[in-house]
Parts: sequence; C-alpha cells; structure tokens
Amino acid sequence: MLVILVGGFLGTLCRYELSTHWSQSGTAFPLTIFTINVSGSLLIGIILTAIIEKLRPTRYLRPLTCVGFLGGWTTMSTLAVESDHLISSNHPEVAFAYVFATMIVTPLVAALGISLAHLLPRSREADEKAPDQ
Amino acid sequence: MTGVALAMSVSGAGALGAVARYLVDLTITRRFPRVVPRGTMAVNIIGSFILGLISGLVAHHHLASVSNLIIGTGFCGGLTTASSAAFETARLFHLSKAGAATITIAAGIGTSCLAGAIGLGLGLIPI
Repeated sequence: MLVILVGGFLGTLCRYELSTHWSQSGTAFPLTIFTINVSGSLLIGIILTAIIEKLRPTRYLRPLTCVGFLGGWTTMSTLAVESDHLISSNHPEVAFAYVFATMIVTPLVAALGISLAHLLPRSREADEKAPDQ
Repeated sequence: MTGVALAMSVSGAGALGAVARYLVDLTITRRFPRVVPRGTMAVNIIGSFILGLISGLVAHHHLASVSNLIIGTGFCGGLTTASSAAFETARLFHLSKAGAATITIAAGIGTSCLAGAIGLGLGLIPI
C-alpha cells in the first residue's frame, strides 16, 4: 500500500508539473493529457509484461510502477471532463476526435509495448521458475 | 498557497486516489470476475463524476479553484487511469477476444464521459 502511495504521488506530480508548464487553450485538441495517456499506455505495456513474463517475481515493482506511478500519471477523469467542456463550448468535433484518438491509440501503443517487452531477454530466475515457457 | 505547497497537495491527493483505485479495483474484480474488467471502469466512472461536479461548482458556485487542482487534478487524476484500460484492451485483443476488447475501451471511455457530463450538469444547477 505504501509503495502505491509513493508511485501515485510521483505520477501525479509529474502529470501536474507537465500540465502546468504545457497548458493549452480550452478549445484546442488537449494534446497534453493525450500525450500523457499515450506514453503511460506504452510504458504499462512494456513494464507490466516485463514484470509478469521476464523478471523474477518481485513484491513491490508492480504496485510501485504500474498501479502507482502509471496510474497516477495517466487519467480518464480529465479526458472525460475536457471532452464534456469541448462539447458544451461548441467544439464537438474536437471532443470526438480526442475521444476516438484515445480509444484507438492507447490500446495500440499498449500492444506495441507488450510486443517490445517480448523482445527482452528473460532473467535466469524467471527461466527457472517457468522452464517450459 | 505557494507553488511547492500546491504541487505537494495535488500529488498527495493523487497518491490517495491511487490507493483508493487499488482498493476499489480489487474489491470489484474479486466480486465480479468478468471478461470485460469492471474495476477500472468503476474507478473511471466515479472519478469522472467527481471531477465533473467539482468543475461545475468551481465555474458556477464560486468554489475555490484550488479545489479543482487538489480534488480534480490530484485525487480524481490518481483515482482514474487510462493506462490500465489500454493494457486490459490490448491483452483482450491478444487473447483474440476482439469483441470484449472493443467493449472495454469504448464503454470505458464512453461511460466516463457520461459520468463527467452528469457531474458537470449537477454542478451547474443553481442552488
């Protein structure tokens, strides 16, 4: 639980700092959150696959990196409310582009991350644990 | 509030949101072990609703805008996640469950937008 707190703190801090220094007008395509969500999806594909399949079993790595940091880094609530604001301020086309782009690109880069992680060498401990795979 | 104190408050709220996400996700996934993961969808709906409500209250009821940063950017941002939804979708595609994968991502984002709109609408109601 403590490692999730630490990871969530750092992930949120990074997202907050980036969105403070890279703020945009309310009617443009919300590139900041889009970039955050796409990069987080790529990283979770790589890291989670590496943790599950390539590394020796660890207790804290997954809650720290995936549940905490990447969960804190990416966000769905801001995406949802940004889209609602875009629709209510008469920019529904930007809102739909934003939502559809997120819907298509984030799973794709997560799949890309999974494939990239499959290219990594396995640790010896992971081999010993599951020699048949 | 100074910049550093604000950044620390937002991040602290995000840390609490991340732990809340872990607990809600765990509880729901254990109770409803389905192909389309319910836990991530649930936290995203809850967080989007709260953020919508806070945004509405800040815009129309003079709620301090700092609460939008701490509760919205911090807590709701930490509570909700796009990376888990993306990973769960990619995993379902990988298992050749394209239908479940499509539902996971489309319903996940769609319900969040709807929950955000409902929260926003409630926040705009004059009291």
